[in-house]
Amino acid sequence: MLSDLLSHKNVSELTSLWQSTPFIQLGLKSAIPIPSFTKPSLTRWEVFQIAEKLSYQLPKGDFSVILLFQQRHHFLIGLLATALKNGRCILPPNLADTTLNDLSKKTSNLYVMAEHCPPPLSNQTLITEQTITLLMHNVQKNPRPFNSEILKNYLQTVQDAEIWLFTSGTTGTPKQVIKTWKSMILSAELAIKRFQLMHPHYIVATVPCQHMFGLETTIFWPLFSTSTLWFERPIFPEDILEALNANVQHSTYLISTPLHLQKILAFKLQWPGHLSHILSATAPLPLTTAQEIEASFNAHVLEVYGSTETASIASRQPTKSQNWQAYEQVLFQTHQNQVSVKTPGLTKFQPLNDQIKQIDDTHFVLGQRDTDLIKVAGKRASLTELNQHLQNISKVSEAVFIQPEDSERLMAFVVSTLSSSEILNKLRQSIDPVFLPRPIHFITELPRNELGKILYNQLLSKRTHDAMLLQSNFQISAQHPCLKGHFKNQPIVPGVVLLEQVEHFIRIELTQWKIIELKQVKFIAKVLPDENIEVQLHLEKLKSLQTITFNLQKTAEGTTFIVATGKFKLSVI
Amino acid sequence: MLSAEQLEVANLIIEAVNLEDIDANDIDPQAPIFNNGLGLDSIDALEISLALSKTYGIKIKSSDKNIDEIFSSVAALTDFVQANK
Repeated sequence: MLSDLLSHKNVSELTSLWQSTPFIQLGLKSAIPIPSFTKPSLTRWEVFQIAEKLSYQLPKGDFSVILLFQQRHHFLIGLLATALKNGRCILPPNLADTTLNDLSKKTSNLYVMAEHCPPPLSNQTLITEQTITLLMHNVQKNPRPFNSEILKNYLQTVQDAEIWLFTSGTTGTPKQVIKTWKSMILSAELAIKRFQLMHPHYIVATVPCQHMFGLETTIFWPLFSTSTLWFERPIFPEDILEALNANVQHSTYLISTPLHLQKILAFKLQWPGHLSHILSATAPLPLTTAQEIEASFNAHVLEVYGSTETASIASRQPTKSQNWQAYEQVLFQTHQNQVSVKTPGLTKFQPLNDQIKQIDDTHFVLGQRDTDLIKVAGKRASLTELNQHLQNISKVSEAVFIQPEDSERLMAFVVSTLSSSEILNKLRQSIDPVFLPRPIHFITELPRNELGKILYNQLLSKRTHDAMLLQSNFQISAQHPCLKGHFKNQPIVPGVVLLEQVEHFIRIELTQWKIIELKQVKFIAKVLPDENIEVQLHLEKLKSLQTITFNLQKTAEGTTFIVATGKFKLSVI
Repeated sequence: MLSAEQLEVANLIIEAVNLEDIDANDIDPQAPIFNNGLGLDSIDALEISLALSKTYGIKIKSSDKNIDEIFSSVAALTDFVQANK
C-alpha cells in the first residue's frame, strides 16, 4: 500500500516505484510526432509534475471540470490537476445534449477537458489533449528529482477534492454520486489487497475512466499500487492484442465487461500467455461464458461486485464458486430486508441496489434482482421510467419495454400508428441510446389479465408466433394451363405462378393492405406439378416497414427446404 | 441512393446489430452511423467488426487509421471495406 510506503523509514522503495517504474505505457505510434527525448512511458512522479503544471491553467477554489478524455494519462492528469486546485471533476453519464445542458446549467465556472468540445458546452473554456502533450514533453525534457515531501504534499492537497459520478439509481433518473479522492483511495486499498496488486503487473482495460468500475481499475488501483497501465482503451480484439503484447514482462490483467468479453470470444483469437487474470464487472457473467473465457484466454476470470455509490466491495471466481467474498473491512447491515454496507471509503452505511443473502460475515450470494432495474452495456435504467418515455410519445397508445432472457438489449412492444423510425427518433431525444429497443414489435393490443396486469409471457411468445406468421399451402395441378408446353415431358411450375399464389394469399389474409410491388424474389429450387407447397408470410416488419417476407417451402423425404423466398412492399388501403 | 456495395455494408450492419426495423435502402450513406445517426455504441462497433471479419476477412484496428473516420458513415465504411478486402 502507498500509505505503508509513505510511512516507511526507507524511502528507496517508494522512490524507485514513483520515479523509475513505468506507470503508464504509451503506444509507440502516435498522431503527434514524439520528440527524441520522450520516453514511451510515464512514471507516477512525471504524471504528478505534468498535473501540477496543468493546474496553473485552472482557477483557484470554486470551479468544475467536465472530464471527457479517453486516454488514461490524459484523464488522470486532468483529474489530478483539478484536484490540486481543489476543483470538482464531473464525469457525465453520457454525452446526450440534455445531460450536458443540465450540467452546464447546474454549475458555474465550468471547464471542459476533451479532444473536441461537445456543442452544448461550446461556451465553456476548453483544455485539449494537446496542452497535456506539450506539458508532458516539457516535464520529460526537464526532469525534477523525486522528493517524497512534495509527494506527501500533493497527496495531502487532493484528499478532499470531489469527483462527481452518475448512476441511474432506483428511479432511472441520473443521480449524482459525490466521491472524494480520500474515499477513492481508501476503497482502492481494499481492492489492491484482494487482487494482490503490490507485485509488478500490467493492466489493459476496455472500460471507460468515466464510470466507477473504470475509474477504480484504470486510475485509483494502478496509481496506488505497482501497476503499469496501457494508455488507451482498446475496443477491437486486434487492439486488445496489441495492447497486451506491448508489455510481456509481467503477468497481465485484462479488465472488461461481460458484454465486451462475450463479443471478443466470438473472434476466436490466440491470446498471449502472460495474460493471467480477466476482471469483469457491471453485469453478471453467465457461468458458461466464464468457463469459455477461462478456456479460451487461459487465464483466471474474476468477477467484481460493486456500485457507483459503494465502489467495488467483493469478488469471486465464478468457475470455482458462486459465492461472493467481500473485501476485508467491508461491513454489512440489514434493516427491513434492505442490506447496507460500510467500507473505509464510505462515511456511513450505504444501501445496496441488489438483494443479497449473507452466508457468513464475508460471503454472500446475490439474490433476485429488482425486476424493474435493468442493465445494458453497464448502464442501469428503470423499466418503469423507460416505459414512461415510450408511452409519452404522442400516437403511442400502449407500449412496454422488455429485456429478453437471451439478450441484454431491450425490445419494445408497441401499439401505435407511428413507424419504428419515428418512435426511435423520439426516444433518442430522451433516453440513452443503449436503451433503444431492438427491435420494436408492433401489436394490436397488450395482452392483459383480468386485473389489467400485462401478461409478459404472452408478449414474448408473440415475438415469434401468433400474428407474426401466417401459413397456408397449395398445389399446382398438372392440368394447370401454365404447364402446357412448358418444358415438354418435364414440366416445372413457373415462378410467376408461384408468386400469383402468394399474392392471392396476401389478398385474402391481409384485407387492410394492398400490394405495391415485389421488392425481391429468389427461386431456389424447382416446384413440380402436384407438389404440396407451404406458404409462410412473415409479418414482423409489416407495420414498421410496410414489408412482408414470404417463404415457399416443400417437404421431400422428411426434410423441408425453401424453394422460393422474397419480399413484397404493401400499403394500407 | 446507396450503391450496391454500400447496400451490402448497410445490410451487414443491420444484421450485425439487430436493427431489424431499419430498411437498408432508407439509410443515408453519408449520415453518421454512431451517436445521433443510427445511435450505435462501441459494443456495436465490435459486432460490426466481427461481421466484417467473417464476411470480408477484414480486421479492424483503431490504430490503423482514424477509427472514427472509418465508422463515420455507411459510405466511409464501404470505402474502407473496398480498399481492404
